Amino acid sequence: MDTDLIFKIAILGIVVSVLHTVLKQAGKEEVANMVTLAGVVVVLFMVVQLINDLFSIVKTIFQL
Amino acid sequence: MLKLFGALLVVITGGFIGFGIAEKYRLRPLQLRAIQSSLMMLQTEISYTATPLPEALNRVAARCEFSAKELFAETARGLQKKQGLTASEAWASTLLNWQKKTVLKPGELSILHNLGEVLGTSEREEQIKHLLLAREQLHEEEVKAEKDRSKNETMWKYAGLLISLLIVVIIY
Repeated sequence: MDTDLIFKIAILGIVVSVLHTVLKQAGKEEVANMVTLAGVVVVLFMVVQLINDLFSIVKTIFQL
Repeated sequence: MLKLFGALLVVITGGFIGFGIAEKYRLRPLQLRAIQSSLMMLQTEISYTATPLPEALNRVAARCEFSAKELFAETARGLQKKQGLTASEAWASTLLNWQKKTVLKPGELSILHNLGEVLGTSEREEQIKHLLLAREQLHEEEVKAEKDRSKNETMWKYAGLLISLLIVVIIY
């Protein structure tokens, strides 16, 4: 299990939140929401492999 | 090591792009203001001292701010060459060269273009009216530009850096 991914997601979260604040201050709230959503999607793509692994492990444990 | 260098390059480039866009927003109201004040000086030259146009343009160029200076100095030079150019022709050709160096929008340039057409061809009262009109229109544009600046300048300063940081984090 590598901890790299966790740090990567943490940095992504910080940057996205700052960008959200800056955009909101500039009065572009739709864009800010879009950026946040895009950030969530990107992080989801990063962890989708791990979630897949988790499910397969659960499957093998319960022999489904 | 190479990866880190590349990441640094992306961040620096993104930051510069963001700062460049922010700089454009910052300069627009400043340049509009400079042009307005120089038009004001030109109006004074025409109405109170009735200076001949090339000389008046030169005097204005000597006193006005950085971005408007060239427009007046160049037009005066065009007139003083005595190649049979009318004032409006000299003004228009200078404007064509000058617009590459400014961040003004086509609407504002057309205000200046329209002003040039009456410059030196009509009587004094007429010219002063047109100068007033041009200044009023430019002032409206300045108010708009100022609003744009307050909205976008800080945003672009941060956004360039932050977006490039995002790109780096995603593909690192």
